[in-house]
Amino acid sequence: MKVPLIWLKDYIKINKNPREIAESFTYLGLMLDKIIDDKVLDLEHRMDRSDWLSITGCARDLAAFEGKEFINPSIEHPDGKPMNEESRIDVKIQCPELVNRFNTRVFKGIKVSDSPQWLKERLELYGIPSINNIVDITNFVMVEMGQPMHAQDIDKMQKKEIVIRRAKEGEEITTLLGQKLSLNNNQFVLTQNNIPTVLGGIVGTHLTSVDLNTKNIVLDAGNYDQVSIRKNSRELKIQNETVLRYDKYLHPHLAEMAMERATKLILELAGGEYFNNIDYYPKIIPLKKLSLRYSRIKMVSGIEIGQSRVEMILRTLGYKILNTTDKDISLEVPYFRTDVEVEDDLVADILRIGNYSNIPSTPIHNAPPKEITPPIYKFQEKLRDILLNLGMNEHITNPLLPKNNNDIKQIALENSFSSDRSALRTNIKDTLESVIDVYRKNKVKDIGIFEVGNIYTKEKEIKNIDSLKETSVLTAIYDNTELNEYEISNKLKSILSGIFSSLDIKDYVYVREGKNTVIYVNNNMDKERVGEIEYNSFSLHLEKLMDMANYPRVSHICTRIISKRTEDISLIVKLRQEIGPIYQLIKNYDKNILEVEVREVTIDENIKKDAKLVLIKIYYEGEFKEVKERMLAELKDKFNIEVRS
Amino acid sequence: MNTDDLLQKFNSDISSAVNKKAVDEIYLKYFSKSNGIITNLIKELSSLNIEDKKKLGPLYNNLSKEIKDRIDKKREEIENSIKNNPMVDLTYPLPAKKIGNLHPTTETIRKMNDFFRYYGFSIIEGQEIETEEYNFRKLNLPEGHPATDLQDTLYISQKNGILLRTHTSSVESRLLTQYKPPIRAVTPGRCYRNETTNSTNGAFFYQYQGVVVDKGINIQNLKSTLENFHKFLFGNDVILRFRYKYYPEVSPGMGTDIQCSFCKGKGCSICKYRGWVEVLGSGMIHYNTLKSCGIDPEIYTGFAFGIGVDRLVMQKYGIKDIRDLYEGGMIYL
Repeated sequence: MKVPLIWLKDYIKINKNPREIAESFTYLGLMLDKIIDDKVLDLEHRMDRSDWLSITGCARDLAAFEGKEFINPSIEHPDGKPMNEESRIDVKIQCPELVNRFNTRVFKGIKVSDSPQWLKERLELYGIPSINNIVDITNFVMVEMGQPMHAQDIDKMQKKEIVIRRAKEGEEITTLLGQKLSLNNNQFVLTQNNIPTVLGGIVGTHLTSVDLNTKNIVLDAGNYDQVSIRKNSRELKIQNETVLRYDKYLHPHLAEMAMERATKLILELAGGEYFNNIDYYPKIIPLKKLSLRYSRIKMVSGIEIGQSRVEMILRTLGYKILNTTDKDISLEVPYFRTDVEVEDDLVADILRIGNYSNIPSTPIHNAPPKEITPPIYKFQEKLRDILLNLGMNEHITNPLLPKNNNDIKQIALENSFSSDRSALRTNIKDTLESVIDVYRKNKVKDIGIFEVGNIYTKEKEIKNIDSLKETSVLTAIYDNTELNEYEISNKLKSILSGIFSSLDIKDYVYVREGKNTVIYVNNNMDKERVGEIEYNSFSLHLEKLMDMANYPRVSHICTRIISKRTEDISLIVKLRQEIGPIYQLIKNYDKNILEVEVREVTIDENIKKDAKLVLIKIYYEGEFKEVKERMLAELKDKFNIEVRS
Repeated sequence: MNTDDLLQKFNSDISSAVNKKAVDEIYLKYFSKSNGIITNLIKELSSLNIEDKKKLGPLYNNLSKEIKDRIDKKREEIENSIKNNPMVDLTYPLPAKKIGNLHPTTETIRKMNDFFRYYGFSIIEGQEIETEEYNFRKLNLPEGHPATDLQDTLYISQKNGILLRTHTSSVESRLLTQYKPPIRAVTPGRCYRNETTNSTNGAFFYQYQGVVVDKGINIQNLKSTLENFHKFLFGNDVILRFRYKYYPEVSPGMGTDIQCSFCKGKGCSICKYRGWVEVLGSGMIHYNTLKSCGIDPEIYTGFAFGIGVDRLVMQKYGIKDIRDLYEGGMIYL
């Protein structure tokens, strides 16, 4: 909201310099966006206070803050003539769901000319060019009071009527700025003789506009459904001073006040006389009544504020005090304060005018409540630390990506501006993978990255939020330009083993299922699928993994001396035989076997065609010879392998 | 075994020791409290007659002293031999064992968590897929409220009112609905808006939200909490300004600025000539929000605050473009 200081000072006598005034506004809730120059402040508007889109609204708050008087703009003017058959401009509202009030007045015998200097200056400082005295007055009142207004030349109307109806599909109008718009049924238009003259609440046309030859006008101040104006203006991408005000909630009483103010100015600057005309206002909206308890001020702020001070602040802000007791004040909320909903909003006004800087600062004295941090959060943090220690870098990637119609589990977004960001990932690798390229471009050879984040999946049909799932996942990718796939997969597996070791998970297997290799963890009798592994990446489902993890790592603690011995065995295995099941058989064969390591896998045509040599190291305790023989026999039997020793 | 034999045995033991560990083992072999050879000899003395005691006592003592001395000497020898090994040259460094890096956003969030944990806050991330009910309605944002414009929403299903949360306040309404006061929690979380990404605003970003609900909580407590939090974030010298600011989910609302550290409040290009930099939004939780979450606002009051994490991270780590943070532009060397 731009506030020309000269205009502001019409309503409050203040000697402060622009910077000081800006600071006061900032404390009040209108933060200075920028000082345009010494004459105009640009204040950031926060959507709630429709009256802060008017100079009087800003001035009223400033007056209360500075302890000064607020000077109301004058609405005194001679009475108008009653409506008669000859003066009457008919008003027909065919879409009452969109129009709350439509207040009109007819002015005859006016003289359209240039505006006086004071009016031109104020509008131009605000940023609206001066057109003629009538148009300028409608703009002036809009900026002064926050109510958009509109004047039409009666002599340019083919029929003496204003009919407000929904636009027809595809109906076209050309705006004052020459823009051609194609309308639809959600929008509404002001028409005469069934020709649209104004796109309701948004923009006018040239058809009935006021020019220097105009003698007779019909002036309107409307109050429309702000949600509809908001939607329509966004859809048409039209943002202007009218829309800015109409898409907030305005009280219909404002239309009446603005009409009186404009009437005074028109009679003063353009002469002529006026006739009362139709004021469509079928459902009168009463002003809100609230009561403010002193105990509530104390409860919210911790401060006791004297009754007379409270009353004074409320009065300056325009509240009408209906009754006071020693406990509370009953009051009527002024029509321009459509933001006030609850008692605490009144407390906010009291504190605001008193300046937040003056509120003391007191620590919370209550004892802290019981901790409710979910275990998964701590688990994620722990995993991050484990991965860092394994030399992996954490990345966070945007989970939004392009839609993939083949992924039936993918959750798509209905209204994304960007097709690159029109769905949610179903696995982290899809968004994390691109980071590898950045490392490669920087000539980093040894690249280990991970992300702890969510993946998002849906059931076939979205019925409600329960059809959609967020799953916490860790995905790690390893890449090394100097290693082959086999070496990369070994490196990756050792990272994964590091995670399991850190979580004290001993019993895990990687099982080929179709095209994928799946990670299972056994815990007592449960077998839980905790993730998947590929040659250069793996993903772990953290909720499931957390259930299987043990920490502190009890089983790693040793208080006796174990006489651990080793035995190497070499197996000749068919080339396509997976080593996982062989490893599992050995590992679980006997309680004396402590650890099993696959040390080396070599493919050498000299050993045997279509076979590989697998060197396995077994750590055991106690007697092993007899166990070994039985075990090797079983391996031969099951996997058709040869033992080489 | 007489003392000479023993000494001879010891000589062969000690000469074969090549490292400290072996020497330690030898020490234990002779002097372990439970079963050391010398220890046992000295223990046996007590069962001997006076004569033998007088004869053997000094002998064993000398033997014990000699062996101990020899062990110490051997230790020193080994230490010297490491020091004298020309290959053990400690004067040049080698590359580090690889240790990973934490994402700066995680790092920043952890620091903030540490601060709030100290004050008894729990940490709750909450869900990213939300309903209009929790993202807007319960937070005093009725349909068509102009403030919903500030946050253009990404919808999964407009028909069913399912969306990606536009702020972490949705976690506040979940918490207040799920738990009974007293409640004290912070939410570090991913949020989404339907915006075209540029260098400072992303469609995907992080917020950090705090909420306290209890009996007797007032705006003074909010001020105190924020004062401490800002000092924690920006140092004890930070100059703060509290002012009224509207947010739909609170009333009274409060904005917090820190004085621009570049111009000391005079106004410069960094602070857009305001002299102050806006950091955080907060306020007393709206009467209607408490009520819609099933908490009696006549008994309980509370405050909430929210801060954008990304800008803090970018400032601290000198990252100029938010896309570098979350779109793969940033790596660690």
